[in-house]
Amino acid sequence: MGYGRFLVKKAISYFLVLFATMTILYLFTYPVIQQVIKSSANYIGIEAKRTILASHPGLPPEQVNQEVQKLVQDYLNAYGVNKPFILQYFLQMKQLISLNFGIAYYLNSPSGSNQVNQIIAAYLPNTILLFTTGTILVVALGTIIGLFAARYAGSVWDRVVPAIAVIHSSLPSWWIGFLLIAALAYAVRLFPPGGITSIPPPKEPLLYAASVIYHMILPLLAFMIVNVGGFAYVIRSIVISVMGEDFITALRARGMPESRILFRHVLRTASPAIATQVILAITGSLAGSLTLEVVFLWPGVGLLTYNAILANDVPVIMGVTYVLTIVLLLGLFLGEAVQGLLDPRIKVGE
Amino acid sequence: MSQEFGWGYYLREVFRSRSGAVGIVMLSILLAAAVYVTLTTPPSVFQSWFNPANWVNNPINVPPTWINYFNGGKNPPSLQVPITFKKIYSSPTIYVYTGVANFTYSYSSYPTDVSLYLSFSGKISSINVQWVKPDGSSVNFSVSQPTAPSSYDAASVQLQQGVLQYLSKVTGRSYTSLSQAQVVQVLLSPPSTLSSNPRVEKGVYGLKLLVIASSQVNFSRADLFLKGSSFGTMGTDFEGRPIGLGLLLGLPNALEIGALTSIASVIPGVLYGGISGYLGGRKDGVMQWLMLVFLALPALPFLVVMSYVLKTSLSIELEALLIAFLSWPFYAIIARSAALSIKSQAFIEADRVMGIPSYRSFFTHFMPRLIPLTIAYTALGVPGGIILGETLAFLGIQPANVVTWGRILEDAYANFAAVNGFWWWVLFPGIMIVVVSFPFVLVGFAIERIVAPRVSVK
Amino acid sequence: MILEIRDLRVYFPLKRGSVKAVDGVSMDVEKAEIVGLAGESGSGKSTVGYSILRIIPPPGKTVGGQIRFEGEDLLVMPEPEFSRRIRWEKISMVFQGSMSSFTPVYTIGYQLAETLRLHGYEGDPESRMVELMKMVRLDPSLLRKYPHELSGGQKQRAFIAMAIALNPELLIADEPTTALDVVSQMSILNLLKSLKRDYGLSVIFITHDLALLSEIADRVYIMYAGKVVEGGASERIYKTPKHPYTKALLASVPSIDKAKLEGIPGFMPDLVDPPRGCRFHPRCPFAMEVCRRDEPKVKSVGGDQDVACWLY
Repeated sequence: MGYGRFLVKKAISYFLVLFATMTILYLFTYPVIQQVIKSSANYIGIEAKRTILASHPGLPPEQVNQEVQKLVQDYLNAYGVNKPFILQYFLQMKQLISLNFGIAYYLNSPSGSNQVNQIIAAYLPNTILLFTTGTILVVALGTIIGLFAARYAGSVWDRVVPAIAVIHSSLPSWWIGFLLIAALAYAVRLFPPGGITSIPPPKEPLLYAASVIYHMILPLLAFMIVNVGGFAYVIRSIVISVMGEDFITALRARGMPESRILFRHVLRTASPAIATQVILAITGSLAGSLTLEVVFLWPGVGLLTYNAILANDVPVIMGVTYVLTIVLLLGLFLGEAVQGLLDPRIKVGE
Repeated sequence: MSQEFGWGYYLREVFRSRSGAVGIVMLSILLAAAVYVTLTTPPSVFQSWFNPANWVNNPINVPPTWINYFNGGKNPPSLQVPITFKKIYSSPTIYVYTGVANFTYSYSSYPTDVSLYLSFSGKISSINVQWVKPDGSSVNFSVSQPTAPSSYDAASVQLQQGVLQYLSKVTGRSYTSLSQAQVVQVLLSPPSTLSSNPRVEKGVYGLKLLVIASSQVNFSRADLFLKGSSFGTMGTDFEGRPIGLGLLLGLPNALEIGALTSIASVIPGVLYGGISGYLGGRKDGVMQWLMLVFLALPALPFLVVMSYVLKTSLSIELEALLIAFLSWPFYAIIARSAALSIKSQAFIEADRVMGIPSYRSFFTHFMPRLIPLTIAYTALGVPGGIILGETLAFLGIQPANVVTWGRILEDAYANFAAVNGFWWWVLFPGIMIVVVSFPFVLVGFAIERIVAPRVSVK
Repeated sequence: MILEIRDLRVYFPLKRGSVKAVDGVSMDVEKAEIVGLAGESGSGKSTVGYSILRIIPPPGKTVGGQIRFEGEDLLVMPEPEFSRRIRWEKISMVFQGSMSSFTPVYTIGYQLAETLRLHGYEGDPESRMVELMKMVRLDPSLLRKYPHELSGGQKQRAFIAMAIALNPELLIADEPTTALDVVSQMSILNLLKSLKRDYGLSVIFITHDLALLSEIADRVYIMYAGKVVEGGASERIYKTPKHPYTKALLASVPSIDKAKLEGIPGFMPDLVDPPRGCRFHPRCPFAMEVCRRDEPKVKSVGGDQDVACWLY
């Protein structure tokens, strides 16, 4: 009962956050948005002209132009251009939230569309695949390492974790990726130097999946090298803190074996704090993951952004920003939902 | 239980921990280097990085010279041989100068390029160049109406012609064109080996120039370059720029962006988080919600978009501000958790009981307890700022006319350094990032361990 | 006699030296008897309790002495056997800071059942849990609740329920009523008394509150700076205290008819380097030359009362 209500309250809260964040984004990118709208309108006009001329070849030019003008004007009106700001805000925000980001300047989706949202849709799944897999691995590995470091706190093994954490916090993930490519893909031809599958991609689904996994190994390695250390260190701190609590002594007095204490009681109690760290880790490692895509030519939105930068394709860059904001918020919401699930104090309400 | 939070105490504790001491030492060295570079290097040196003309005499894409210790001298370093000029005849309309240079070539591999670099004032009608090899034979070529400055290397037409003539004279065969590498081979091999297996002729080489000018000529710079296949302590990039210099020039920027970002995000973040934790209740809830709003903005895409919104006016300071704009929630979260645990300690209640108004208690008792945490995270935040700054530079987003390591790495990426095995181009800039981040992380961890804010499980 | 502690020594090795928290403590506990262990903070009383169950927090270690329970020396018993046979089955413990003796993320019922299962309880855990809750006068519906949903007094009773789940002979209660309101305090005391009466439970009641002990203890031991300075039948200690420290402690207990509060001048000694001779001598108004030189031995002064003081 309590959890359901908690979820609903969280969802509402997140909707508000979404709205606020999008508004902030909107305010900051306002000039760029107007630019994109105008150029999209332009494009629509050109396309319309072409269509009209193709289907009605005999039409006099003034009539054609009139039609085109009307279409362009309708388009601009839909976005509230040249109208008071409040109207613009509502109309344009509506478009943004319905994921309409206009027409790209130069780039196209693999299927040939030049609508920004379709371009992004083609690349986004790959980013989610890489990033989510990487994050899960980091969290799992980091928690295990942190747990054991805390268990044997003070021993030789425990010294390793802070040392690794220090080194990891000083590394840019994409540079590690660079080195890995140079070392493991070119010096020693062990792994593919980039891309998501071999070229041409295998037809059979199982082989295709295997190829993708094979291509994921190096970028995942780079991602993990950079993020596991710091995460394990924080987990270690949390676990050590939990292990110092009174109830642990009570558990020992009850004759409970250390392993059960560690996994059933300590871990469970620390889960909400760990969940918070996962949330922070997600937001913190996204930038590195996107840049990793560039180095590994992984066809995700990071690589898309890079190409858009090279091509000065502002609509695409803008669209990516908005889409990633929504995706990130979804991820954070999931994180908080899981946190609520694990912590009975939230479930039942304090 | 007394809780000291005086500055002196924490400083002493940091030095007490081994890692903290090492960190501080490294930091001081770095800071000193950065300050030295900024103060002693005139801005022109920074700008020179972007002018390819400055590097035209360096070999491109070559590893550092010390590699020769490991591969038995297969990558000879570059040689720069100065040419000395003498006026031998002058009349109102004709001036004649001779230039002479000598050098010993003792490496077993060919240089990657040979070039003659002249910078002068005056009007020169023609230059006749004679390249004298150890065996006595010479290659001649001439240049007419040179502009200043001029550079003639193995790819230039005039040298090619001279070499072709020499080649047909010595081997009896005529060739139509030669590659740059072949030109170099001809210049530095004994004639007997030229038609079959050219090998390097070690020995004393000479250069003689005959300059005929219609006015007085002042030679400001005249050098013969034998561009080796190694250069400097860290090699060169695709424009012949020494990587080592690039790293040094990039140091002040990196430190600046790291420091600015860190201060601009940690201090407001900790203040915000501290206040939020202290207030508690609904106000805390609202403040947390606001934190979430900023946390949800994806850093990288946002910064990229902003660079387009701001177009050319992206400066280091602005970039740092933007990064801080998105980073403060991290520190607010940490500060809030620390604030909650401080709040649970009784003395705040004691203050209230004693009748001290809560805002006064806040500033005199509460916030100071967050100072060590602030310091720790200011140190820890610098590498984050540096790495994000270099990441943006790698993607092409950086202030104009500033040397950054990210940009150097982007050049490496765009020029397929990994494929071509230009490891020095990739390794050293990255190592610099690590080397600079490392001491901050060390110091930050050391302080954080001392402060050890109880990571609240509540 | 079910528990005999002889010359127990527990030291905590720290960087600056070894903290001699418990330095030669001896005491006895009979069946169905409530024994009070009193002293200031830092006197070592809690450490004695922890050492019986062998859960002294690191880096503390037992370095000498014997703890004989039903004839066996607990300190030399191998760990697995101790954990299986003694912990919670024969001897259990209730802690101070009852706020956080339960794992916060599981229900009371879950943790109770877990403890029962852990020790191989053969009966029906459900009915046993309900029975236990009734024994401690708690509504069995609380079993389904989480620790944070219970009040301090309820949590302490619930923990007592868990502590007696396996019918132990001895319950060590370490400051069980500190941080509880007076009403809850009394109800816990009554609960312990009824457990002693109805089930023959022995209790070692560790506290700094002498007034509390007077309500419940059959016998009392007074500890100071890691040593027992006086012990014996409760009435004798309260009516005729012999050791100067005991007298000062009793005098400092506030009561309605006393006009002013009396404290004991001075501070607890540093346990790394305790004073030579009698540890109390720096603060003792009756200190003599011999007190500064030699440690007094425990001597009987008649009628089930022992004192360690050169005055006797």
